[in-house]
Amino acid sequence: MNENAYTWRYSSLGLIIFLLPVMITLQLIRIQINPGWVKEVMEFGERFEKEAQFIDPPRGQILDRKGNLLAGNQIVYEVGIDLPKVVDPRSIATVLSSILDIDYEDVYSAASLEASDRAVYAVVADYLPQEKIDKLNIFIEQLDSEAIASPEKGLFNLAGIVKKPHLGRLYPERMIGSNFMGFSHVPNVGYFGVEEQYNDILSRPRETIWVPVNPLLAEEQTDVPSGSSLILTVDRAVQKSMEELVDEAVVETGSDSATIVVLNPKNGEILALATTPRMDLNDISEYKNLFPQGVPYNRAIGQDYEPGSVFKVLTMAAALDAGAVKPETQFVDTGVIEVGGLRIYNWDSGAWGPQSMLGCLQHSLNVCLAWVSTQMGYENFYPYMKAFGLGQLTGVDLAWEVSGRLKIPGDGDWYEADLGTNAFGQGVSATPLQMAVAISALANQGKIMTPHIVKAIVNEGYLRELGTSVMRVPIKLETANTITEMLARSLEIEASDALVTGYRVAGKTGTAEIPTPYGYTTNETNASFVGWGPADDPQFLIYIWLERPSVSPWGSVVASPVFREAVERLVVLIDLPPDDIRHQLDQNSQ
Amino acid sequence: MVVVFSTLFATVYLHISARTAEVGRQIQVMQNEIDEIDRMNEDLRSQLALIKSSDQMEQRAEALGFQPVQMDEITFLSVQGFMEPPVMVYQHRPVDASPGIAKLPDEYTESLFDWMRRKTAFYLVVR
Repeated sequence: MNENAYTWRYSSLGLIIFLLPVMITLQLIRIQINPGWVKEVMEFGERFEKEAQFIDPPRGQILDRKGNLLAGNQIVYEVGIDLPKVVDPRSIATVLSSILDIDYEDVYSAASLEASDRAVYAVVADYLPQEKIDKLNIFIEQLDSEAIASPEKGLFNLAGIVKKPHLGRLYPERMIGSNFMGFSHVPNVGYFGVEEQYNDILSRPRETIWVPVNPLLAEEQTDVPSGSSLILTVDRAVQKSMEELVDEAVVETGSDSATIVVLNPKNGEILALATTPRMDLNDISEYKNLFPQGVPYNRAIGQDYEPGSVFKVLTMAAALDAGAVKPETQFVDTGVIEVGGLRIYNWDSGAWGPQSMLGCLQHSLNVCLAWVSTQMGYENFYPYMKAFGLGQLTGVDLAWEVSGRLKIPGDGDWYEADLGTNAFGQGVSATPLQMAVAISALANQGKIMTPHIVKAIVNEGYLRELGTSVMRVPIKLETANTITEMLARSLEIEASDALVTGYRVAGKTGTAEIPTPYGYTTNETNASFVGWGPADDPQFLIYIWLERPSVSPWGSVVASPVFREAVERLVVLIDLPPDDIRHQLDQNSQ
Repeated sequence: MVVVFSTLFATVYLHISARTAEVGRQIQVMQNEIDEIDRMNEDLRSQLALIKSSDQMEQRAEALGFQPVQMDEITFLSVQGFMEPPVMVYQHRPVDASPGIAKLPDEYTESLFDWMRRKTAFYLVVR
């Protein structure tokens, strides 16, 4: 081989060695000067630089007005299978199904999945409590120690099981306040009550954080703030006491259900909202049994009914305010009145003779109140009823409120006779909360405050009080004071079961027949009572509704004692002294 | 001489890189620990609430011989200067005054070259 041949080979090799770096350099320059390429290459690199971490920010807490936790968060676990690590799907399915009480076939089919780029992890159970995970851990530890002690035995191979802790909802008070609380056992979704109404405030959407894989690029992660917390107007002790009273009332009166609404008429704060049925919020498996189709989750806001005679306080307040009657106006009750072609009778079908307006309320005379509404005329009566908020949502901050029904002139199904029947609470429907809110005008100098259950929102450590506002002013201050005095006196004259020793209260019973497609029932009623006190400076308003009591159909017999009991419990829990001591304290402080 | 300096430089650089990587890993581990502690805090708050739930408190009070007070068993006293406690007591959680600003010291975030640049700038300014 001659020298030229070697020269050619060396030259070629040299050229290749020279060209390669030149080409690499040119390629680098080409990439650098082309912004599109730079972006593409950088994005490609970043894909392997960081990995995604999904964070579900903790849901905000719910506390009562004294700071007691009503809804918080606890550690629960997601159990899944890391598919590339699975060795023995049968072992995994056997162990997980027996310890976690889940279906063997579901676990086995998940564990048997072929691992691929798209299938690397399968969830088999979620929201598992710590106790179950502890059992699983103990089993795995025992298995490991046995495997070390006797490696010749063919034991379970559980490689691939993954346990991921995260937060789930916990309701420390279980059933207390379940009807207004609602529940949330799925991230960022609330059902019913406060949990649903304030879901957007309590929860925050899932955050994706990109964490560098390369420790050299480790950086501080930004804090993911948790959802805002809520402080309610409800007092846990009052709520619990009223729920106990509701349960007792159902048993003692043989009612289908019972509801008690307690609110402060001066600011619209709901102190308690107790009804039946209730559910342990930590165990929602009972939901379908407790609330079958047609049963509202919270009767206080979700079920309207014809309230009957408690409605008379609104009719009388409107008539007094409009000047249609005065407290001393005399009406001669003949036992029947015809309005719009409909003959209206009293509850006892009797004629009560001459009566003042106080007597009409005291004896709950349908004939008299129907006459009062005719004195007002429909052109005055219905605007007043609308001003009281009937037929409209109260706007309370709870999900699933219904509005009830107030037929007005011009509606296809309104007849002139409705003016007479509406006057004593027939042919008109409202929820217990709606009635309580409407009547709160009588207890608060003619003003209706916006009803609310959330007192403050706490966000990032800062507390923001939501405040109170006047929603409507349906009647004048003088009218409110007059009717409060009339109702307090009527209870005293009647020596009602609703009277409370030491506290002067105003109130009215209600007994309503129940409408059916074939007319009104004669043997089943809705019994109600509304009362507020102290009469000279109302601090509370309590509305009672007993559905179909079997012991007695009369509100005065079954609902009045429940009101008295509710007041006796409430004044202790809210530290409200008897009237004489309160007056004495007021004098001392002046 | 060049080889010695290059070797020395490479050794220092490798040492610092290794330490940076180690610190980076520690940061990641600590970040996970923070997440876990946050979760535990939430959990403990709820567990405490379970222990202080009204049913539990009532049982304990009854076991200690207490009874629910009745309306007619209360005696009201007029105390001069008594201030009614606030209805709601809420502890404000301390909030970082400068959210979003990195709190890690420079040693945890800068590279060798950043450190050299910072130090060089410092000496230049001092002189």
